[in-house]
Amino acid sequence: MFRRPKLQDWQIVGLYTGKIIVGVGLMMLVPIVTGMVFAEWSVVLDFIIGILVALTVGFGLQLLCETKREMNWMHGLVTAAASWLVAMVVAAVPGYLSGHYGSYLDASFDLMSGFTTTGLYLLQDLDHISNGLNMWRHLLTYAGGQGIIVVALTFLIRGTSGAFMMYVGEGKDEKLLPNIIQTARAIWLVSLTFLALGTVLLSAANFIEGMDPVRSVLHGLWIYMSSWSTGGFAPQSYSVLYYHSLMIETLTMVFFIIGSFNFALHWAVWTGNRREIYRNVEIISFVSTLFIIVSLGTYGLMQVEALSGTAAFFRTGFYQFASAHTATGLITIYSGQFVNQWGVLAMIASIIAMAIGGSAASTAGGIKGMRLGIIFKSFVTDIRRLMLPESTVVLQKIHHIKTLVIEDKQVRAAMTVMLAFIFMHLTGAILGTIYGYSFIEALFESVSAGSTSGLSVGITSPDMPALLKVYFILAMWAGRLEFVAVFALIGFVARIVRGR
Amino acid sequence: VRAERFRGSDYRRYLAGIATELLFVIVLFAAGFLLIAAIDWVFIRWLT
Repeated sequence: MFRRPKLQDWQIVGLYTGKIIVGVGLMMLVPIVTGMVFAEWSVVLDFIIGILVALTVGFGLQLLCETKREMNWMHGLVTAAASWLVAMVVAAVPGYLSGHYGSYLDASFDLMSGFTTTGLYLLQDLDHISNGLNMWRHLLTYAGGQGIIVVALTFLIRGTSGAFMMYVGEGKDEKLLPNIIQTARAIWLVSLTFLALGTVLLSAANFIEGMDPVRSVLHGLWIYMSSWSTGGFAPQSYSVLYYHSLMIETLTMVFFIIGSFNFALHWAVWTGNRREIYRNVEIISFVSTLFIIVSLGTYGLMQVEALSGTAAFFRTGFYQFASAHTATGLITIYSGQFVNQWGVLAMIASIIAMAIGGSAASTAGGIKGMRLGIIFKSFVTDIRRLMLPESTVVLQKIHHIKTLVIEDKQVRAAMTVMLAFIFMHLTGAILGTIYGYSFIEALFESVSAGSTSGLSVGITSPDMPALLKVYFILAMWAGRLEFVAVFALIGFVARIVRGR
Repeated sequence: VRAERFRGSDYRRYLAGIATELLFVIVLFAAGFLLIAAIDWVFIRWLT
């Protein structure tokens, strides 16, 4: 029989959730400043109300739950899962007050989509929203890419022994440096360096394409944030198609592919281990599956004569498949084209790409290249075992920063998470089918939400059934946290009822 | 700790790292383009 959570367990979870909510609240200073610069006073007011709500909830939780007890493994995981849900509800206030959402549920949906770097949205009249609100949407996706707990670890939580557990609960389980706070700062160093580079390049591209200087910089910054964090939000409803620019398409593709790499890989390459980029199991897995998907998808597009000429297949097909495979969600086609023009084979290729996603400990979602690599290696090793004498010891090895021997428990863990993803995607697809969408469309949208990709065939809209909105919110949340923290939270809640 | 103490040599290594990542993506694009060109050629030559 499990132990029922005691008051001190609630206090620890509440205390750290409060700290994370304060961090999320302080992020609202950025849209407030943006609103002031552009004299958008109603936006400033919305975010002042938002920040007050967040700080009240955050500091209130810290006061109510004050404790000197240390966090253990379970507390860290439960805090990671709970803080994302509380952050969603609290941080949806300014969006709801903006008047661009049909309901608080819609505003919460977009918040979770932003934090989880999904990119699906229910916001209405996107092409006419304020700069402040646009800044907030893209900041959400940028901060969510690094992880809201990484934000809190960097600025608000110092030297706690439970910090690593929260970090793991957020779907990142690799230390770039021996200390977890230093690891969080290293992640920010990589992200902010690319932020500067990407914003300059994309702003220049916008300016060359004829935008005025201020708008060039704003769009450059937003599109960069969305690309790097594999987010999928864009300042225009036509996403990257709006720009009709090969230069912007290429730059966004460069940044979302690099953004989908493991932060441990970035750090290894940045600190001198440059060979790692072609030896790493996740890169090998990513390149292999990307090329299989591009081959399958391109053949599908040729079958239905959706495009013609190698350049068109590369510019349109490769972009969409790479966007799907990195779980980004930026597109250079109309969302209706997936259903009306792409044909079933290209849609299936996109679904598989989204389901696999990017690298572990990156900004991307999905099953991840690492797990696929482990499962594939295990499969090959099992076949080799059949060919060799029974007494032979066969080691399973992969290369990730260093050569690692895979144990059976790692294979089992990878399989468990993969099965959980498949179950979640199929449940969403069946739910969508019950609501009258075709199975392939419902599966596409379900995989997009669960793998935090953000590509859409048009199901996600303000008119979507409320139950489907709630399911997609939960799918984005569980998919981003990769189930472990969610299972811990479910176990924590179950122990209230079943424990002793 | 490298993340906190910035030295000139670190900057150079970081820049070399960024250049490596960008080069990798360029090679990936080139390989992707060649792959699509090959599929296009095979499709036109053999499958239509």
